[in-house]
Amino acid sequence: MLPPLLRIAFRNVLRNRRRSLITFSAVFLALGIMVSIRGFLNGLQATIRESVVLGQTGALQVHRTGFLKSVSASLDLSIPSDDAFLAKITAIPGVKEATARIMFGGMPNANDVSTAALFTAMDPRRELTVCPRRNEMIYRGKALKDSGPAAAILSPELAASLGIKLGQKATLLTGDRDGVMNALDFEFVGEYGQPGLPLPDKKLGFVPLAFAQELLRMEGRATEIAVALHRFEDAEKVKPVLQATLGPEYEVSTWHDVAAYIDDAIATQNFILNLIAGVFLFVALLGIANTMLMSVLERTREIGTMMSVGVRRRQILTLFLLEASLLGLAGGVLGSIAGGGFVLYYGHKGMILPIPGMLAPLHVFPLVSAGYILFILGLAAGGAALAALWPSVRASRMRPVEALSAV
Amino acid sequence: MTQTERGKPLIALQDIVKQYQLGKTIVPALQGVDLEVMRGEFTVVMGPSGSGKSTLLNIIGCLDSPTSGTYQFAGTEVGNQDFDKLAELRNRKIGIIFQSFNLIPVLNVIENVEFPCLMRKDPEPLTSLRARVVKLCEDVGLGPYMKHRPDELSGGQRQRVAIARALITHPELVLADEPTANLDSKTSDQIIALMQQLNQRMGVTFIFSTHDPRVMQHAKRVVHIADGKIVEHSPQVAA
Repeated sequence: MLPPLLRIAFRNVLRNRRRSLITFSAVFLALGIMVSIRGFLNGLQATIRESVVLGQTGALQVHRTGFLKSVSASLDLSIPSDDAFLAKITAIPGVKEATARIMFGGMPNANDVSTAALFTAMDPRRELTVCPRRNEMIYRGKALKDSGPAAAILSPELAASLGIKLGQKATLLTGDRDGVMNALDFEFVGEYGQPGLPLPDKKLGFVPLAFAQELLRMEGRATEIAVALHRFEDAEKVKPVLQATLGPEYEVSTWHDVAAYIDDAIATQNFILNLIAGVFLFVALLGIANTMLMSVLERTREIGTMMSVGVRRRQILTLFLLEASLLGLAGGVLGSIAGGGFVLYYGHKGMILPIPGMLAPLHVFPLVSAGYILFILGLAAGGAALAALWPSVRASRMRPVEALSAV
Repeated sequence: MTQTERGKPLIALQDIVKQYQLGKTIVPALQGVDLEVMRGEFTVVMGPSGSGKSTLLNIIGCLDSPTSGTYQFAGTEVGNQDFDKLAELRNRKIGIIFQSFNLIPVLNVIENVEFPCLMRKDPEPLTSLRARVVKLCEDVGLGPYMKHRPDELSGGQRQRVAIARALITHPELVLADEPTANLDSKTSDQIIALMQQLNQRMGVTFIFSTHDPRVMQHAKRVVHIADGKIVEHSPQVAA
């Protein structure tokens, strides 16, 4: 059997059904929307993370110490790219694969036009074991693995400024680490990027690692090793092990460290979500405060009656707080179930979001943790009690004789 | 109740003054009331509307505090006690019956009657409490209505619930503020008879306010009040 105050609170909530239903609906909607948006954003953020880790950065990266802090990607700060060095990395528990890259600046030339561009050299086959989604951004032409040894994928802006089309040749001129100029011809095999989606660095190119090593006279060397883990979420755990294995000469970074802008973007999204959720919840809680205030005003005589039979102030306060919490909790539980149902359904089925101008639509799998649901349920019930605090205190502070004489 | 307690008044009011402030006007409700009520008495406070009956009963019931004067309940000064102490006193020693019944609408008869006992810091076990409640409900004629909510009862039945609720705590004093004002004459007689019967059988002290002269014939002692002053103590008459 329910404790007497809880029983009375429960029945009082059911007493004015229409008003309780309106308040309940506000909390229901607020929590349903909060859970749904949280689930959708979790899915979206996971998609963004995955596309960054599996398409660009890998879970971990190894550089020569100081490389990341150097103003220009200095070729002096190179590291080995041979199989033995990569095997040392892949031997560490949790590591799945590793691949070498070189980042360098060059001057591609075609049709008597030269322009400065940033290039990334990669091992066309190994790269895909670390970043399997690397080629998703090639929207026209071939991938490097399907091309010859002297091939390049260019951003549309770079190709346009050189005035070359797919299949045409150009020359890449650059200085090696000693500053000696060298040039090699390449074939423009693929276009990189999404039409309509601006790239942060507009003049970009990708070439095979061996091509760059020959051009830069860096045989057996690279500037970056990208590392894939069995679970990219383990990056923080594997990082210190890899760092200890390689020693202070090398610097191990997680994808968080090298793509901090992703965390910033996620933090911004979360901030906006929390703001929207906060507004929804606030409005719902205002409804509860209003309901409780009306309830106190209507039941003043009843409060007097309770006081006349010896109910203490704290018990009156508890009764009204319980009523508010019940309203908040009931709306919250059902709202969470509705929101959770939405997240579960689309989490299983997946949401396909066509983004204007992008080749492939985004596949988002909404996901929400039980912890978040419990947290907002607590917030709804606690918030409801807080919203009802003033009306409840007002009820408990009444003088019995005044409460009894209320009309 | 000890022999010593029996000789002392349960209620002792001395020079009780109660004033209300209405805007800038001070309205005197009680103007120096002295009253002693002995244990086991069945006292009626008579007077016209606005004479101060309800104010007097509110002060005796610790629902209101006097502006000045002293009030001793069972030999203890209650004027300086805080809300929770007075709540405890109302809960354990005073039962109050109102003109408009004042039941809790979401509770049924049994739940209304047991409510004061459940609000105690140390409530008695529910099984024994329930047994007492059922017995008391039967005693006051509510046997067939125990699962009914107040809105399913007649005025007389509601007042019986209020009487049972006032008695369930084994109070030393029951205050009834015009308990028959909202009842027809037949039901009024039944309710008064019931209270007299409980007074005689259980020895509970009753103070009863009314402005209905018909009720007077049932009283052992009548206190007349007018303009906030006690104007006459009628001697005890045979009920």
